Amino acid sequence: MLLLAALLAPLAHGALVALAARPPGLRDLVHITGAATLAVICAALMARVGAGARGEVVIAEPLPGLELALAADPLGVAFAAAAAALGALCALYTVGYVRMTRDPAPARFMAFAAFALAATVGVALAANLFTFFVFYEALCIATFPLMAHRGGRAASHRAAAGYLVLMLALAMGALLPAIIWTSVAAGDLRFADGGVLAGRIDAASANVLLALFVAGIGMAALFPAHRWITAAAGASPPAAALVFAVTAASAGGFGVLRVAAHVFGPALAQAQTAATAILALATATLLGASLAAFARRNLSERLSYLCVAQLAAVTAGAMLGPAGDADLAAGWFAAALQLVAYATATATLCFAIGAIDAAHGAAEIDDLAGLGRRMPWVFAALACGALSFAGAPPLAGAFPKLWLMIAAADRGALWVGLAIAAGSLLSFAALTAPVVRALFAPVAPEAHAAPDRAPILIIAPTVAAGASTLLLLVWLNPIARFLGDLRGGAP
Amino acid sequence: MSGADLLARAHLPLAALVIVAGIGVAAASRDLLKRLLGAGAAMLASGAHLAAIAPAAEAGLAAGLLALAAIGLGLVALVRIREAFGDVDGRRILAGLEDDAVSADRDA
Amino acid sequence: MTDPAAFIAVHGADILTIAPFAVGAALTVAPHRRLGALVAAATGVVMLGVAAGVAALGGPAVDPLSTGALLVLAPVGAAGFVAAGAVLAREVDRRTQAVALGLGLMVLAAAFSAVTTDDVVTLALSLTATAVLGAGLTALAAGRNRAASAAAFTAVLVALCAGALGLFGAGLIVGGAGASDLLAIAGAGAGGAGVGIALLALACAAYAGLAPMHGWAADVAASTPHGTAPIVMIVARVAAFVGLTRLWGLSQLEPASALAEAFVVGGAALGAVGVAAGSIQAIGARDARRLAAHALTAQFGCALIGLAAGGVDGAMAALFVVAAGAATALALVVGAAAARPQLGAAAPMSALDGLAAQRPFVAAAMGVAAFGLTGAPLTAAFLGKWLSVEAALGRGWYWAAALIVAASFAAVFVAGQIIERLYFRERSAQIGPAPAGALAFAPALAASMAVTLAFGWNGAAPLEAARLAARAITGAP
Repeated sequence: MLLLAALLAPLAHGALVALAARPPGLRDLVHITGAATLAVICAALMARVGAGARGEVVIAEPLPGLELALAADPLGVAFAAAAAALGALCALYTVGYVRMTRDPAPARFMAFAAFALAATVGVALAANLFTFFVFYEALCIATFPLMAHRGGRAASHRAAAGYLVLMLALAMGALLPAIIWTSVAAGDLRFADGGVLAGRIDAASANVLLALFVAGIGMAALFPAHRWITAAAGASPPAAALVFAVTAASAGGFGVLRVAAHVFGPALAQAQTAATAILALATATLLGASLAAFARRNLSERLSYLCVAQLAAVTAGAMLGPAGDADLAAGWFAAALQLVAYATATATLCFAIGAIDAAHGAAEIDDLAGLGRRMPWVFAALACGALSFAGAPPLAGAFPKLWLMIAAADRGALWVGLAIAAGSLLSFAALTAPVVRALFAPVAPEAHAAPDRAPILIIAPTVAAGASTLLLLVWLNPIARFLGDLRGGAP
Repeated sequence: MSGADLLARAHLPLAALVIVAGIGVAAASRDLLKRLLGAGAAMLASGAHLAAIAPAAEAGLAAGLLALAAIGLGLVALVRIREAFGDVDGRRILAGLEDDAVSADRDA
Repeated sequence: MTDPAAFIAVHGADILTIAPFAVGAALTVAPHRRLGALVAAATGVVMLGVAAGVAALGGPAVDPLSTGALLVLAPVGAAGFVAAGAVLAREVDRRTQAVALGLGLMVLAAAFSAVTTDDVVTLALSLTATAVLGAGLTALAAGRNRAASAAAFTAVLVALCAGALGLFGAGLIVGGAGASDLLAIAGAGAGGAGVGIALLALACAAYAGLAPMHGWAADVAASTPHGTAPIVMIVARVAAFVGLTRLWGLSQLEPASALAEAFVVGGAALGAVGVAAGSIQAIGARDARRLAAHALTAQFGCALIGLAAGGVDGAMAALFVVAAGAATALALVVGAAAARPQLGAAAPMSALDGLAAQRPFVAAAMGVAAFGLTGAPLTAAFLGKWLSVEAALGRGWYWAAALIVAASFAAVFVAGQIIERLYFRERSAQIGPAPAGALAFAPALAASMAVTLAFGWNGAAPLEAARLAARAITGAP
């Protein structure tokens, strides 16, 4: 029941927002209430699953044995809850942002934001690969108007069209064949602890299949599919937060983890060649994107490259998987943590950069000097996000980095550990420099003379998101318990 | 061997020959009229073959009628094409159509 | 006084052939200026009722393949004729309009005859008749357009050549097996009859516009009158494919025969060429109806691969793909007619620009059809692709599976182009506003959308029908 509600609530929310486009007060109320409702539903779902309950709903059965079904399992529910919680913050932020910038078509944006949330929840709670595919495609389509939103800017329209074609083409060309192949090889598409492919597939097929899956999930932004994120750097800040942090990019990382843990499971060991190649690619993406970030003087562009780097770490964790004999799937656990850390920190950074842009029109790093003293709250949040990206304890980013290194050491892949450490240092340098500049650089007295003009509806979610990067410190153990099946590895 | 016997034995290879020749002409010739007549002859030959072999002759009759209708239609189309192109050379037709497509695009 | 239900059960197939043919012939010979459109639409709808009755009653005259084919063709025909009046009224004068509708009704009758008959001579004659009459329809548009003259001439040539092959094949079958009834031939696949079946199958392939014999179909599609386009482009081609399926069924009765081998090799080759050529040409198409024709060619290629893969599963996949493809093509063809503001035959893609703002319903139907083309999940075409790929993989044909997937990949660009034009472009002043929305388009568009979405959501019913048909023709238990 809750499962169905988690899907229907955002759909109804989207339809209601579209209907209640006027007056603005009602529209904003509906948007915030809708997003909050989803967050509450997902929290309730999490509580249920934490208490050991599992549920499944079959929505449709297009072919015998091919079900459109939702299921509640710890990994999916955890991701859905994280997305829903950040989605609620994002709804607040969106309301503040559209009011401040006098957006021409806010209701459309909000409606598609709700649909994108619905698709993300669908991706998270999908009971099988077919359902995952359906919602993944829906997510591609629902996020397209968000990315194209910014007032008819040709560049963002082009980026959005490129994104849609790339994602759909990869999904059709690689993900779907992989799914059909899995169906033929395993006779089962259900996500299950211990995977469905174990013992049912030979090594050569497993390698090709893994490569197809990872190539098909283009949202995970592994090189060369990373271009969709960097090309979309110019999207409006709420859209960037939604697409990069809450929905598409996170769903991509989640998808790779889901496939590795619950389709392959122990069979990942059979696809060792492909897994290592993907691991190398992810590591290269991580380092390359971190380095490329330095070359960008625009804060949004720099952030987009760092997002690519952080997402690559999720894929790396998913590929590290369970160690040879240990029953501790450190890689998957690290990937799950990294996903949460990535989402919270990215949302924080997108919110903060958007607030700076909206209040002072400063997008280039050189314009930031001294601005931090005018917008202390926003820059404090920015600093939290930046440090979390860098993996500085006690912020969220620290724990997954630690686990990733443990997993890499388990696998004897020391180079991965080194690359992650180097990537953290690069992120630290890339994001801390602007923050320091904003807080401490001397400025002419007349610059930024105006007080902080960002309204509370923008500041509050930014600060809340920044605070959320601290949450893992408190919640690490509960989450570890919650994700028991990932941590415990295959039975 | 009587004439009827001879015909009964020969109609199959004869029809096959006419069909192959007719379709060959239809495929190879550049003259549209020849193409039409070749294809028409092939169709009529197969209709005649069917009429000779089938228990009921209606099938052959229907085939003949269809062939005649098609040939008539083809002639009408040919006249239209001749009016438009002034020639029935296959290559010229294709070139003309390219022009059409381009001008349609310009209209659009 | 006989019971009407019993009468339809026994004579349903004859009614479906004779009634529209008689009405069509009367309209062609004595075109009535005012009543033409009404009579044609009414005939189409009544025939839909009869077809539904035949399907529901399951009379002795029709097998499951005929039933399934009727349930695809009759709705397309009925919706097509309802829309035809409104479209033709903008294209041609009323007299020509009535003649066109009459010819269209005769094409429909011949197509019904082709899918319900179990006699090879009737099959060959019916399909030839659809082609000749279709060429006549295209020739009606020729007065205005020399591309239409050339297309009509090509269609005549194809009808004559394929007709010659088909009828000669039928003659060989009759001579070799001593009967023209498909059931009677079943055992006598060898020798002359086998060659005859192969020739007739080749003719069916040409009529269905299977690649590489698809050029004429695209030419005709681009220049036939918009009003009767669904009949010429979809009904005639689908009927020919059903005929081909029936002949393929004969080959399945003796799986090891040379004929079966020929069907596997020929079907796989033609199917592969069809998928590749149709997909590539659809990307390059600058005319909406040409695009629809090429997309249908690609769908037929996909279906042919399913047939060649063999077995009940392969045939089931093929029939499902063809039905889904027909629904998709219907929306594209009728949508193109609804979007075209002026007289004349061409339907350039630019006529779709910004249609969503002016005709949201038409745009929605075309958008759904475009998603169907890509094989997006929860559309009927997705299930068709899924089944085809499974059938190909089941036979170990990885190349075929890869080809079908590549075609979906290519279709993303085709569909992207359609949707981009519908929803993200401004309508240029040169094209002018879309014509007033005629209620007449609604049935065709709604039916296409409903079939694509409903059977994508749950394909159990059509799949069961396709499975029954596949079992019936392959003689599987």
